[in-house]
Order: sequence, then C-alpha cells, then structure tokens
Amino acid sequence: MTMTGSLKAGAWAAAALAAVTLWTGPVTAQQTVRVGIHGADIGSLDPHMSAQTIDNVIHAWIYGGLVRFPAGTIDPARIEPDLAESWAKSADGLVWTFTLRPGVQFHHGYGEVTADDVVYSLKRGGNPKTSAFASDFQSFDKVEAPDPRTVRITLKSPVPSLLGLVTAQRGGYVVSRKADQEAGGQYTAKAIGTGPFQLDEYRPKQFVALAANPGYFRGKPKVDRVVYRFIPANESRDLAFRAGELDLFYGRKEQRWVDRMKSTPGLVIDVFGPGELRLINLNTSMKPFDDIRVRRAVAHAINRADFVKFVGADVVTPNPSVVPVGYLGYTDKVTRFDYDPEKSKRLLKEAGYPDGITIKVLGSNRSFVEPYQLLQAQLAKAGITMELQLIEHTAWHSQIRKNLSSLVVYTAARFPVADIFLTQFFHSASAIGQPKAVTNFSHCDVADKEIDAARIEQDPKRQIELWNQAQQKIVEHVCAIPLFDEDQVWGRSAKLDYGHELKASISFGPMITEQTTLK
Amino acid sequence: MLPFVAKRLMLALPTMLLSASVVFFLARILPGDPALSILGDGASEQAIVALRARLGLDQPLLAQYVAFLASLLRLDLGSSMISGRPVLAEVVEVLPYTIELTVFAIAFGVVLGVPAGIAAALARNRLPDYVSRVGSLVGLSCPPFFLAICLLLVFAIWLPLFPVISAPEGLDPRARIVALILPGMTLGIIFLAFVARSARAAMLEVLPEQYVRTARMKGLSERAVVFGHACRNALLPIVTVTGLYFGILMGNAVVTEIVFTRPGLGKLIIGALNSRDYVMLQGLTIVYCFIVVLVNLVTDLVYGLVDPRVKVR
Repeated sequence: MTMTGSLKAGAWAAAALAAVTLWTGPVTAQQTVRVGIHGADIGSLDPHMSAQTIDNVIHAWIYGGLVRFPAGTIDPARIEPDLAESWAKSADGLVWTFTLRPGVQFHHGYGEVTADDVVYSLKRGGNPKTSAFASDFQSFDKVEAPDPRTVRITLKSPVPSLLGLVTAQRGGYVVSRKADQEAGGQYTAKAIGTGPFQLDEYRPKQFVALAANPGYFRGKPKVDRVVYRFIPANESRDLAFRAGELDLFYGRKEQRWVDRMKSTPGLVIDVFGPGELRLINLNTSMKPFDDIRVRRAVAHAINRADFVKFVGADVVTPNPSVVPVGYLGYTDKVTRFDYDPEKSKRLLKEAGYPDGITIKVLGSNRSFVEPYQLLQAQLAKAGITMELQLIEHTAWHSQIRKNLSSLVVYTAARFPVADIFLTQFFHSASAIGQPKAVTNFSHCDVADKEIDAARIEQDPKRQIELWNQAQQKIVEHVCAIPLFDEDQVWGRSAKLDYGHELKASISFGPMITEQTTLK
Repeated sequence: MLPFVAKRLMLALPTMLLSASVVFFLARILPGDPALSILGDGASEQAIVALRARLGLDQPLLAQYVAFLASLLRLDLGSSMISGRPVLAEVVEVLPYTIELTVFAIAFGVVLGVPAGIAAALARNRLPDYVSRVGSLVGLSCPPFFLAICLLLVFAIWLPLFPVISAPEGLDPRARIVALILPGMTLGIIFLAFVARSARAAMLEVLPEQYVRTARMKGLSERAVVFGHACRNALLPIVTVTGLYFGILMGNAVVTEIVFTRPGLGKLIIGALNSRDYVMLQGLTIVYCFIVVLVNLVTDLVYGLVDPRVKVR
C-alpha cells in the first residue's frame, strides 16, 4: 500500500470510529459494584421490619441514624455523629438532646431531614406493630422535637448505651415520615433513607440496584451503582466470581471453603467481626437439664478445641463466655469446665442416671448440620445419647420457640454491649413462653439481679463488674455452653477497595461507602 | 371445538379450588411462622405477635379460609405476606422466565431426542442403539444440580461462552437468549433422554406392524416408510410424554433456576414454602393447576391433529 493509500485508509478508519462514537454516545466508565448474597430475595427494605442478615447488609448502605460506627468498626467508644452533629445528656442520664446536622437530604427529593422525621422514626422503631426491634426501646419515655433541628429523648430509666439504640442500625435507622405515610405500610417500595446509596430498582427474586446518592452529605460516592444479587446456591456465587460476574460476595464460614478459595486469582477473603457466638443452650425448664449436675456433666463432655478445629481456626474464635468476644462488659474470667467424659459420667450417676441419659434435640437443616455429629459423638463418650431430629430451618425456629427442644444450638450477635446479649438470652423476662420472650431458650434466671442492676448503674466501672458477674453466674450454672464466635466471611475482588479498614461491621456485611472504589 | 375447550376449562375450576384448599390447610399445619420469617430470629415476641395480627394469622382457621374463598370469588389471589406485592404480579413477572426455560428444554429434547430414538430403533442392537440407550440412561440418572454445575464449569469457566448468572440485569433480548442456553440445556438434556427412550420404544412397536410391511411391499423408499408411515404413528406417545412432562419440567425447573440464579415459578414456590408465605403458596397452586390443565388441553387438541381417529367433541 502506498503512503497515500495508507493515509486514505487511516482517514476512513478515523471517520468510521468517529461515526460509531457519535452513534453510541460518549464512553463513560460507570463503576458498578456487583454483590452476590446468599438469600433468594430481600425480606424487607423497611429497616425496622427485618432482622435478617440479607436485609441488614443493604440497609446499612441506604439508611443513616443519629449516630454511627465509623465504617469498618463496631467499637461503642468510637461512635461518631451521623445525622446528628452533636448531643448532650442530663446529669442523671435520663434526658438526651441531639442537634441535627443542617441540610441533610432524604433520597429522591424527599426533603431535608427534620427532627420530626427522627421522632417519627424512633417511635416507629419502638412500636411492635411497625418494628421487629420494639423491645430495644422499652426504656423510652418520650421522644420530642422542640424545634426542627433538635430531638429530645427522655428515658424512664438509664440504659447502658442510649447511643447504641440510636446508632445507624436496627430500630435506630431514620426513615422519611412523608415517604412512609405515602407508602402505606409498604416501605420496601420506597426505601427512602439518607445513606450514600439510594434505591434505583428492585427486581424481586433477582436483585436490588442502588444508585449513588448525588446529594449525600459526606460527598457523592465514588462508585455509581451497586447491584445486590440474590444467589442462594453457594457454588453459583463462587463460580460467578470466578467468571468475573461479581466483585463482592457472601462466603462460607468454613475452613474448607477458605482453604479452597484462597488460590482463586484476584480474590481477597475478608474475615471480620462481629463474631456470632455459638451457644449450646440447655433447657433448664425440662428434665434432665433442670438438674445442675446433669448440665455440668454436659459441660465436661464438650471439647471446645475439637469444635474449633472442625469448623476452622481461620473463621472462628474460641470463647469460654456467654457474651461474644470484645463486647463492652465481656470477660473471659469465667469458670472453665475441663473436657473430662469420666467426670461427666460420675456427675450423671450422682444425679441419678447411672446408665446415662437420652435427650431429644431439634436441629436446623441449614445451620451447624455437620458439627452436630461431632456434638453427638462427644456426648456419647460421656454416656449421653443425643437423638437429633434435623428439621427445616423455618420450622426449627418456630419449634424451639415453643419449648420443644431440650437443647438448642444457636448463633447470634447483637449490639456490642453485654446488656443486650445478656438480656435477650439469659434474663428470665426473655424466656420462651413469656410475653416479652426473645431468645432465652435455657429459661435462665440466675443473673437477673446483676443484669437489671447493670442496666441502671451510672458508674461505668461498676457496670462492667456487674456484667462480668452475670457472665460468671450463667457459666457457673451452665445455662449455656459457649463454643466459639463465628466471624463473617466474604470474598471480594482485589480491585474493590472499601476505602476503610474492615475489622467489623454491625450489618454483618462490608460497608460500601462514598469512599469505596473499584479499579 | 370452542364448547369443548370451555367445558374443559370449567371442569378445571373445582380441581383448582380443591388443590388450593388442600394447600391452604397443609401450609398452616406445617410448623413455621411467616411473621418470624419476615422479622428474623432476633425479633421480639411482641413484634411477632403484632405482625401475626396484621397478617390475619391470629384469626380462627375457618375465618381465614372463608376470607380466602371470598378473595377467590373476587378473582383476587391476594398479596404476598413477605413482599406485600400482589401474587398475580409476582407470577406474571417470573412466568415468562419459566415458560421460556420449559419451552427451550422441550424443544431441545424433542429436536434431538426424537431423531436419536428413531435412529436407535432403526439400528436396533447395533452401535447407534447402544450409544443412544447408554446416553439416555446417563441423562436420566444425572441429578440436575450436578449436570448444571458441570455445564457451568465447562461452558462458563473453562470456555467462557455463557454467563453463570443467567438473569441479565438489562433488557437486551440477545443477552437473555444467551443466558437461557445453559439452563435450558440442563433441563433439556434430561428430557432429551426421556424422549429418546420413548421414541425408540414407540418406533420398535410400530415397525413390525402390518401397515409398515405393506408400505415396504408397495415399493416405497425406506425414508418414506419410516417418516411417512411409521413415525407418524409413533408420534402419538411422544405427544403424550411431552404434554405430561411439561408440568413435570416446570416443577423440576427449580434446581436449574437456583443454580443459574434465574427467576421462575419453581424458585417462587420454594421461596414461599421456606418463608411460609401462605398466600403465595395458595396462589401458586392455583396457577400451577391452571397451567397443567391448559397443557393437557393443548395435548388433547394436538392428538386430533396427529391422529385423525381422535375427534374432539
């Protein structure tokens, strides 16, 4: 080809390229973070109406609260302003006054956040008809808005962490009064919050797409879009990441999974808090666990180290106490029951069971399935026959709340202050069958005095002592046998940078913030 | 023909009502609580009780059943207890995905399975027959989830031709067709195996018939004998199998839908069952019944086309 020919060809190519560019429009690199989550669909985008992990993860990207944990942490000592720019409390700790940050806008033009919205949200969060977390707000006496930028909360009695209740999580999320009233009880359709991302599209059973909130008060997010896909099959999430179709996905809390996935190119495995404490709750309301000697026999039959080895040292932290590690008020200075099956047998004999015991246990078909076999084997060595009936997960949740299992293996995490965990799992008012029942499957009541006293104690040091005493009493009386804390396990592309160090997340999922980038 | 169709549809009404009623009571007998499913396991008992009241689950069973019948009379399938969206809207949204998957699987199975079955019958006890028989046995024995993962590994990971997530975010029809191929093949391979075996058996049955021998004696080519005479009569059982299998495939689609992350009726019904969404379960039962009745009706009508001896009255 001659020089002239080359020039002509080049000119034609340039013209063709220009035409294609004009036709397709300017090329803009839209950054979309593609997330794979393990559920089949969202439960609810109404932040007050769901306590499920699959919902909590996305709520944290959409909604804000009066205060918040800095992204990547759940240390109550580091709680910082969110919608409120400052706050003050009365000397007796009963009146809290919050001053709102000016100019914060709700998504999709629902206007500026006012004290009226905050009051409405907190009352909504405390109402059992509109909130799953109503019991958290039992100490609230009044919530008022003296002026559009001031919220005043009056308590009936002091609470260990008022800030915890108004943190951006659970019942503390702030919703738009106007949007909620328009939605008529279907807040999922609106999902108007103040967070860095706003609802763009919800395609049931497929995905929720969020768009960057251009008016976010901390600055417009660096990623444009987040697509939160429902991928219930574990293998499919793994394969979708390998095929480059996901940037972030829910992993598995198993050492085998971590070991297998470690070698996947471009994958970073994030293991972070809060750990969910795995407890073996012994039902003290029924025989044979109404006898403390039998409960202690079980405690001596359990070898915690074997469980940690079985599930995986990378994803669990051994825990001898009945509150997750690191919570305000946590202590590991509690009675330890050595692994000693012979001692278990002696205790059973002493309790009148020389031939051992047989217990009937209901288990979920979706949680702890394999470790149950280890539990059965360990108990068998001590002369305890565990007849396990694995049932469908939803049915299991319902049956254990009807007091139908002598032993309940349960995992949970709560706001990282000992009071909430101790109250919900070990206070007699929270026992199954009570009007204010939550998750006290053991019907434990040995530490009510300490839990109640700690809740109103104004001296922080004394308060922690009381929580420590409560843990010691509960362990000593073997209401439950703690095994370990299970950390959160997610996989992400090395190209995804959260914009912060991820140590823990109150939503159980990584925070995608205005600082998050995708290379 | 119209009165026949109308009569068949009318006859389906009691079937649908009966099925939905059985599901109504069975779902409520099952342990589990929709309120707990919605609120999550950390919810307080007070919140659970309040939500149960809002969902009408605190009413006596009979009162709930009467309310259910009354809504059916208004042709209202109700709203999902979990999402709050009308059941019909949720069904309409996912139905095209299930239909396209099922139709693809049936087309895949018929287009490849019928020739495979015919070839096996014509080459009885020879290599093509052995290959077809062993292949269909493997196809029938292969669990769909295993087949799905194998196909994904080969065609989405090693040879990245198709996506793992088979429900594209956008509305591009090309992307949707591409995304349909692997799940369609997963479901279709099993159906293919079934069709191949049925076609082989049907052909083996008609090939020794006197009319086939007569056709050969008339001097017709083997091609005309096989396709003009034997195949036409062998088709009838294939039509029956396809009609019957349509409903089964729609039910079996659930595993495919889960592994390939596709929306669909199967996934909807499993989700409703897991979360104890009673209203959704009842509505889906009615929809399923209607589809099965409709497919059976179409099968009957196709009989008339394939075999002139069958008349629609």
